[in-house]
Amino acid sequence: MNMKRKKFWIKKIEPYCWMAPAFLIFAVFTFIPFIQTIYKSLFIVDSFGNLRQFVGLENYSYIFADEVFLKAIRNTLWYVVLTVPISKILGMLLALLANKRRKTSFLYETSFAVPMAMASSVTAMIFQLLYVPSLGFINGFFGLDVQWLNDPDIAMVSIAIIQIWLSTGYAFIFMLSAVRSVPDDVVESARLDGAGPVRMLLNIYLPLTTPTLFYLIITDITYSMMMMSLVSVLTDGGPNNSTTTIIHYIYKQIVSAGNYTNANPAAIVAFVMTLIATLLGFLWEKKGVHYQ
Amino acid sequence: MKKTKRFVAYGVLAAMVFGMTGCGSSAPVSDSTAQSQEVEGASESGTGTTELTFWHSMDSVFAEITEKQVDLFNSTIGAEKNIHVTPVFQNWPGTDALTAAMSADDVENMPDVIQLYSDSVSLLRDYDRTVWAEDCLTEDGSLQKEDFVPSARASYSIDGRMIGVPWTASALLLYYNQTYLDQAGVEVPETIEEMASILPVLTEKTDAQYGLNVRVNQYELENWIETQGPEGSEFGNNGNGHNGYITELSCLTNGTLDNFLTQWEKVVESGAYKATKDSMNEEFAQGIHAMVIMTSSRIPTISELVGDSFQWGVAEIPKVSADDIGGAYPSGSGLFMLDRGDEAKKEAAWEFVQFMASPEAQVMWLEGTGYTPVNTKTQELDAYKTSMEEEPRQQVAYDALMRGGERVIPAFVPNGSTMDTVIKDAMVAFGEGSTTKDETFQTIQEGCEKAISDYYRVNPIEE
Amino acid sequence: MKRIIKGGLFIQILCLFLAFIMIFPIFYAVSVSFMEQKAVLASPPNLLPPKVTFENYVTAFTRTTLGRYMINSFVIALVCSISRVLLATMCAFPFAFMEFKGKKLLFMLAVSTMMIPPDVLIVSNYGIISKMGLINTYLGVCSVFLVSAANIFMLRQHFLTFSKSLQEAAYIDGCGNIRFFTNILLPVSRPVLTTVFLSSFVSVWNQYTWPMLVTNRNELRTIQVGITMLKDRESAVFGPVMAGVVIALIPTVLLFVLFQKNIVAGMMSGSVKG
Repeated sequence: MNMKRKKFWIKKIEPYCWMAPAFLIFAVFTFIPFIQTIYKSLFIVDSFGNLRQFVGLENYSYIFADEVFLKAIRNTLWYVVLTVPISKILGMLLALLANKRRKTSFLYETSFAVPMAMASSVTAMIFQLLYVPSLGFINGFFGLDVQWLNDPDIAMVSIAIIQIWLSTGYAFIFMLSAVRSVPDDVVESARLDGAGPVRMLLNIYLPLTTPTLFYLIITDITYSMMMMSLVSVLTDGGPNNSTTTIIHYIYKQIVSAGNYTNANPAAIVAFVMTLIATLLGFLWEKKGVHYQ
Repeated sequence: MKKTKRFVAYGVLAAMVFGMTGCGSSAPVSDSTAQSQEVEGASESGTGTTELTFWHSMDSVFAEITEKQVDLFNSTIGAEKNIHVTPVFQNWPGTDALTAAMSADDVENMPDVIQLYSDSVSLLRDYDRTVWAEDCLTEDGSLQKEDFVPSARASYSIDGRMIGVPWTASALLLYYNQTYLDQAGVEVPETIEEMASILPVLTEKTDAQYGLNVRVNQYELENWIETQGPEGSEFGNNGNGHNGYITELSCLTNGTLDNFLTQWEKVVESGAYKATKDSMNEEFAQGIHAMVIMTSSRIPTISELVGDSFQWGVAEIPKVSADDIGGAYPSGSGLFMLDRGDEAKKEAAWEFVQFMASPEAQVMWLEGTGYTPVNTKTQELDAYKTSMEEEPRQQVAYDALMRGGERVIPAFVPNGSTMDTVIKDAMVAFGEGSTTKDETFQTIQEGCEKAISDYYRVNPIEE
Repeated sequence: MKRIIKGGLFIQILCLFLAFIMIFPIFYAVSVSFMEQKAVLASPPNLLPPKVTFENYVTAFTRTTLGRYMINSFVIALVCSISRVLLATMCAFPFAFMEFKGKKLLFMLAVSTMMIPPDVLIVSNYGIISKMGLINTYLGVCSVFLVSAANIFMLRQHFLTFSKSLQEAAYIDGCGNIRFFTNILLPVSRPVLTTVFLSSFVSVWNQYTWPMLVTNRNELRTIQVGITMLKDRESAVFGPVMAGVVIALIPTVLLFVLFQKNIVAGMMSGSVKG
């Protein structure tokens, strides 16, 4: 009896023991500071981080009255819409193309995946050169006159292109292994049923790779919502705040203006927005993600 | 050539070291040195050397010269007085790590000396660990207040007292393609109006696509505001924030912004002006622009890029009206000292700062950077004279800085980066002809007022 | 038969063409790093250096102690990646194979760490590290990178694709959780663990702000800091910084090429086929 009880208890706490190390680190470096941030967002905080005065939710209404912050929210959502689906679609298509092993597989598989090795700040510097309107490579080579980063209407798209490049590589490598692990017999029998490429994609590959796709979409949504480095290298939010993202807004408030009073509530808003987007994703997991 | 330069520098330096030891012995060499040893004992080598940490945010060739200056200090004065300085690169503009250390009151990981730009002086002006340079200056010290370019000194002074010591300076200049000007048969413009009138001629008679390229940010605008009038004008109130704090922009009410925009409208209307900024250096070097306006620190880069392909020169920026004082304010950075609770370090830090502002250290900027020495005595060095012979264009920057006097200085603007964004966006829109002069004025006014109120909402002025 | 070969050839050519587009930015960076300053932005644009120069590389190595930075980055990235793989596997294991109270909540909590803007945490994290006396130590740099929610998430996804029968079979054989974890789960997950390791390595290797903030000694700086030191903010010269970029890329790309086969062998596939 005693033995059994002991076992029962061990069984009960065992899962938590497995997770303890990770959660301990999360607690110290993420949860506790973030809870403090939530608390601080209700105060006026000076440049040195001292709490000066309790103002309740006033800081929230203050930033929501700031045109730049509202623009940052719109820009961030626009950026997510631009980058997340396209990079997944491209990653999937490249993976299907590369599915079968061929003589030169090694060459193109590596090339497709290599953007994954790039730091976004470094990538931004390279594209900065490529995008120069007057003397840069892209306009010069194709004879274009596009004001890549100067035109408020397309600056965000120019930045999104870079992000798509970066995350297509990432998506590719995951999708490739997912596509390759679709059982051969399933593919073969579908082919015998006379399924064309489109039906194969929609009925076989897509459903069977949903666990991977789910992971990619959720992480990429959070990643894109948190994007900053491309903007800070390339446009610093301009022209006309057309590329300011929420995180860039927060960064500018902290680093350039020393204004935690605006940064703290903005961070909470960013968190809540990302959380909502992710929860929508998890609803999809219940219905549309097929684990074996 | 370089060898002789260095030789001269070392020679003068050696003389200076001997001179300084004389002064040094008269200064109270207290037992604080011994004390500091006990405190710092664990981390230091124990040879009685005072270790200093110097944070800077200089990259590329500027970092290279910084290292050279520090090495020279360590091998001369440092060796003499048992001081060793370790330079540490910090993220531009150098405030990330400082504010982190400040808010954690992590004295151990603070620098003894830090390079900061004038935007960041507001961080230190009310900080209790700041060691004001004014309090270190002595009558018999190697560095005297009169040695500095007046505007450079005033740039880091508050109520006439020096909080930091100028270290780097450059001036906003007009770069012009002489070959184009000759082809068009026009002179280097002295006022904005003159400039506007020659722009169409330049694009018509030469291969230039644009007569002028400059993106007007806060930096450029502030220069054009402050150089107005026979004695210069205020950009922000309370002496540009150097007596008290800036609570409003004077340029909105004293007519200077309006004057500038009125003149600038002529440039915009010329149709030969590019308002955005891409790769000014290369575009100018390839003859796309007849004139560009940018800081003097780019002179060596332009020189390298242009090579022999055409004649070019630099001039002071065109004035808003002919009777303005003109010139430019010193943009750049200063060195600031922090009290880490160790007298020996404080004294050593002052030795180091004095050296970094000395003619011997300052002349090194001329080896490959476009910075102007902030110490007027630098001109007496042979190395300076040879450099000026090699690159006479550098002299223009120096003259521009000397012209402004003590009133043409960078403003201690609250929330500077937000204001900069506001001004940049408004001026680009104006420059592209999509907004009128009045709209531009209004956008700048509203944006800057918001930036200022944002700042004081969080950091109220305490009496 | 002939058609299949032809089709294969066509797809290969298409793939190689797409591959070129994908690596073009990197190719361009390499090319720029060998260019003289004049050639970088020119009209007509240069794809290849008109005159090859090694000057930028010489500058990169003489101006900074890049070698030392690489070693630092390597040590930090290695330690963090090992820790990430280990902690993420341990954490994902109960999420996928056990039933317990608060499982969903804990999982959401873990995932939510990805949604918190790091910039607002950085100052308090500095305070913590400073109080622990870990400023200017490798451990201080590594601290915030020791675990990543993305990795936990990814491994959970992978483990969920395991057939439950595998686990049951193992238990019937008398395997305890620990033995199942070490003797069965880890070995069959090798490809996915390799991926986690690689992506962690790359992401830590590419970190900049935090390593910069918690070190103020040149000997402890990382490669990305080195690249920033080569950047010429004042006069916008691109050559040396591109040389720095290329140098910093070599280790990560090399790792990729070496392990690429392992990765795509079948992550997420687990034992489905077997």
